[in-house]
Amino acid sequence: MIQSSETTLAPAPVEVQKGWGGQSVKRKEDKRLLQGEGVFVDDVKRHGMGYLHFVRSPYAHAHITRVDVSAAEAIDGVYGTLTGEEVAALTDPFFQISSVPGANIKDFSLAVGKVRYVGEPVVAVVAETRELARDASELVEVDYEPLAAVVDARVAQDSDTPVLHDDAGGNLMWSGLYSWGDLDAAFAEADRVVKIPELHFHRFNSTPLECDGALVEYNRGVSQWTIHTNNQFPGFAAIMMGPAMKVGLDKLRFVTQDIGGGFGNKITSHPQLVVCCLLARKLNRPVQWTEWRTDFHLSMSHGNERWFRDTEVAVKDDGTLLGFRTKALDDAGAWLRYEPLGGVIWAQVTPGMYRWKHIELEFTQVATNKAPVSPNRGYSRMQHLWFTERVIDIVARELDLDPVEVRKRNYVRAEDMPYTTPNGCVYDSGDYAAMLDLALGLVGYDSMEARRADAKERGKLLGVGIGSTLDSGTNNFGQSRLINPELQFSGNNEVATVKLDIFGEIVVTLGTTPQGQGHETTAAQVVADILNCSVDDVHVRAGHDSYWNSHAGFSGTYASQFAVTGLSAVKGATEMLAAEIKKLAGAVFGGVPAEALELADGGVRIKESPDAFLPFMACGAIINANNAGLPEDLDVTLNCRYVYRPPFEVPDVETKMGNLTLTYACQVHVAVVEVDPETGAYEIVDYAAVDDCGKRINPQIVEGQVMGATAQAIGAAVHETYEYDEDGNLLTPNFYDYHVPHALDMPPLATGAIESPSPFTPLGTKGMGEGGGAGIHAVCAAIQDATGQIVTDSHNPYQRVWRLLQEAKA
Amino acid sequence: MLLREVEYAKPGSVAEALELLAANDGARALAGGQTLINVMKARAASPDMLVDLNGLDDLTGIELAGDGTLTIGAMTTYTELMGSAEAKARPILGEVCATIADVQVRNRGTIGGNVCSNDPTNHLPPLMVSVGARMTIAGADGEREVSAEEFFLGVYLTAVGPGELLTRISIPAGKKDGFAAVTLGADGTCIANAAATVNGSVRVALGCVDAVPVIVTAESADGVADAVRAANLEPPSDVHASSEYRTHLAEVLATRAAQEASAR
Repeated sequence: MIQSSETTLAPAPVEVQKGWGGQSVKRKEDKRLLQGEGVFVDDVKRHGMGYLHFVRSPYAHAHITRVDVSAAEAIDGVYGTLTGEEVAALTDPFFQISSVPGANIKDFSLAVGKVRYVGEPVVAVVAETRELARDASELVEVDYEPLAAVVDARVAQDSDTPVLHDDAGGNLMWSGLYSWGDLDAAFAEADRVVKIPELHFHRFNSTPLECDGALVEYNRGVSQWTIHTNNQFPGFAAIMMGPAMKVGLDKLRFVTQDIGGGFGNKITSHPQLVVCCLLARKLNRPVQWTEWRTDFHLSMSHGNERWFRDTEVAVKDDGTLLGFRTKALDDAGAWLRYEPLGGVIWAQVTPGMYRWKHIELEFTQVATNKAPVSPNRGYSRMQHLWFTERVIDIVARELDLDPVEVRKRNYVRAEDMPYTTPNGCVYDSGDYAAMLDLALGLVGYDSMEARRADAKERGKLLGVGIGSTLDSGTNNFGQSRLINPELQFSGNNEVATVKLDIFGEIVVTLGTTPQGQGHETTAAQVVADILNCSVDDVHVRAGHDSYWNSHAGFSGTYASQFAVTGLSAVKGATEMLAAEIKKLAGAVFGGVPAEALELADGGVRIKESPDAFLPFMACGAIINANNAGLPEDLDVTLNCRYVYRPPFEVPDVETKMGNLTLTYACQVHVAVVEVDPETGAYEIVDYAAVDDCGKRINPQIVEGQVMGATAQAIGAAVHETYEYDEDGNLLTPNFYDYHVPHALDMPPLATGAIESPSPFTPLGTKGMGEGGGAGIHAVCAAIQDATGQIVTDSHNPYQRVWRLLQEAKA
Repeated sequence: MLLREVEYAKPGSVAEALELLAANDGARALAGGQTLINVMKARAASPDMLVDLNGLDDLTGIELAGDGTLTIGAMTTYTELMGSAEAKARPILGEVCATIADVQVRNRGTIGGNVCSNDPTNHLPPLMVSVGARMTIAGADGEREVSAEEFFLGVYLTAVGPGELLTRISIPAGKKDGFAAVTLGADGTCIANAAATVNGSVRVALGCVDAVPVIVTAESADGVADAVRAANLEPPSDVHASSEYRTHLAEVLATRAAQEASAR
């Protein structure tokens, strides 16, 4: 199915078709969200609670020589403090994912002995009010002995560069060589070798409306913490926190209702959560931490900055791509909070969307005196896909070929699907060339030369650029073993529970932590189709609670997977419930087999004699409250829990081969820019985003994700950057200098969709929340087209474009 | 709000406001608060007392005199300026105000606050200089009037001294004005800007390149680029623009503002 639509303010038309799946039904959660009735973490209050404020490091790198909290603690209304020294005594360092040398670093929830980036939490202060906590924090005395800082990954391993972590013996955290195919043969076969000395993917992150936060209560009687938090991957937080706090995971209850955006940035708040836990226990009162925006900018979850150096590309004269080799240098910032997983996550999309067979990538990750990185929408694949897209456009320019033709010549073809990549990943479905045609059509590509001439008459340089990317979803956590063979993670899972309650209410409980993705709605659509009822009759519990027993080790909402893991769990649990309803009805009807029954009109009936009808209300009542006389062997609870487990094998750690993700949603974006040659300022005057995420349960929700991913990418391409000065001070720590795109910054946006159902997932769906950063690549390519100069950076503010134009003149 | 403790006073008259400002060393006048409150939240500034000027009728109102002179109360918001029939006598005023930040900011931010904060990236300091505005400053000894050129003294520093208030701005008649800027996003901070007025010759005031607006003059728009070069600008470098890039932008934007002014 191919379709496209111009974006308008009118509500998306509801497709009339059989079943709820595939319809843009209105989102169940929107009423409460739009009317201010959501419950976010800062809305949760408790009697006698205290407010936590972090004292943060003003230095990028310094020894801590003295900490004195006495003046702060002396203030009336200050409940207490926590220092790094206490943390070191009470907890173990966080478990490290990395093999050596990164494995040797000692990461605590507050700085111990040394600070390693501006904004690093050093002391926590808890007081009666938020204002008082902040005032008291100013009275905490910390003496520092400043050290030189390292802010450029390229010099991090030089002998005269200061070392962040003495335990690691240097700033190298992790490295690995990935080599697939026959590089020598590829370069021997090549007509041309295109060399690209250096490409740079910059540091930025996404901007959730809600920053991080938690309200933590400690129940002394049962030694258990209840952590109300907007952490988006509680399963990961738990396995980080439990061992550090030396408690079993049953002592850590995670609760969430509404979360105001996540983007991966909210995966790594576990250090702050540990601080809240320790203080809730120490002070014997609930503790709330609500992160400020500036603190978020300074210290939370920047995206990975990455350099690609000494790239060589083997190509034929006709533009056929044979292979490449490159050295990826990744800047992790001060700590490995989810890293070095970025060192393998990119390999989910090793060849990009292209059929080259011979690829070698040497990955090196170093520590610097900057905020620690964490997954950021498009995590690690976005950096790599930007690289492959840059390579395509640079090759096209060097060979004087049309970027459209080079793409079409090298794209994995529809007839190749499912396609096994050089490193053993399996692209499940898609028709990339058809998507490109659709996207080009949406911007009127055929008339582009006329528009270029028109722009020229107005003194503008017009450029067109393509970004074609993959949003790999549903991780095989076995890929972590390519980072550290000792790790005992593999596969993936998600849980859903579906039950019929006493009055026949259909109640769905998810293991996920939605942050705006509309899980309540899409889950209800899947349930309603199986139970043959209305989505209005399906009650999906808002949020996540590990007490609900409806979660597993990988539960959460991250890495583009709900439409696969979450909805497959919902499907499995609902099908179990449907079978139980039929089993119960069969018994009630006196031994009617399930095949003779059907679900309809909010109940179950005999197909051949529909008057024999048992409403769900009766089913729920019989099992839950009126069960005397039921057959002893009737194995029905009407409360069904299903764990979805995708089909994965453990990757081979020697060859680094394996299927790393289950699905591959794809995006083709086209940007048209007009550059002002005098200033370098440019405007995106036209834009198309075409997405194929397999079967769409709710097209409007999909389109919303596509628009959001486009805005994220445009922001990154044009204005958003975390720049540090040589002393390690962040120069863009607030919205004044860190400009996220406003409505006025967004171009006219046309969206289109192709549906290539995944053959590997129960519903034909694919995860699609991240979007691959296609817009960054499209804008870079458009600037290259407009200026005629090779674009080597993912971030192109006006100044950089002006420089390109100066270089063109020179 | 996470400000340090601060006293708040709401005077009933300009005279009372002046008394409060004179009597309290650490007092600051609060206009729209779109700059001051933000720097207080960041604790970059911590006045002991806020003297709230909102609601003082003497500081509001836009009057158009018979000779075309506009008199604008310091507490006039950008939105009021944009919607004022009188202010259309000098169209550039409303046009530039419409490009400042977003609707919420424009509903609160004031012309007086914009010029008194004198952030070098603000829109209005160069505009006030180019249109030849005159600023009325009230103090214990009565009122005095200074030209916009004399008004802007340094970064965040103006001719409004301790215990004084800017009460109104008067702008002579004229239409041949232009304004050009390169901003961080459609409604973001100015990286460089320029305001130009043609009154016989061309007078351009450049923003973002020095602590105060830099004035260059030329016989016509064609001569503006040379005039900017002759000014030997040494603008600051920051994360958004190097000194070299700002210098170049100043030349381009000055010319564009002058061309726009000349074409009216």
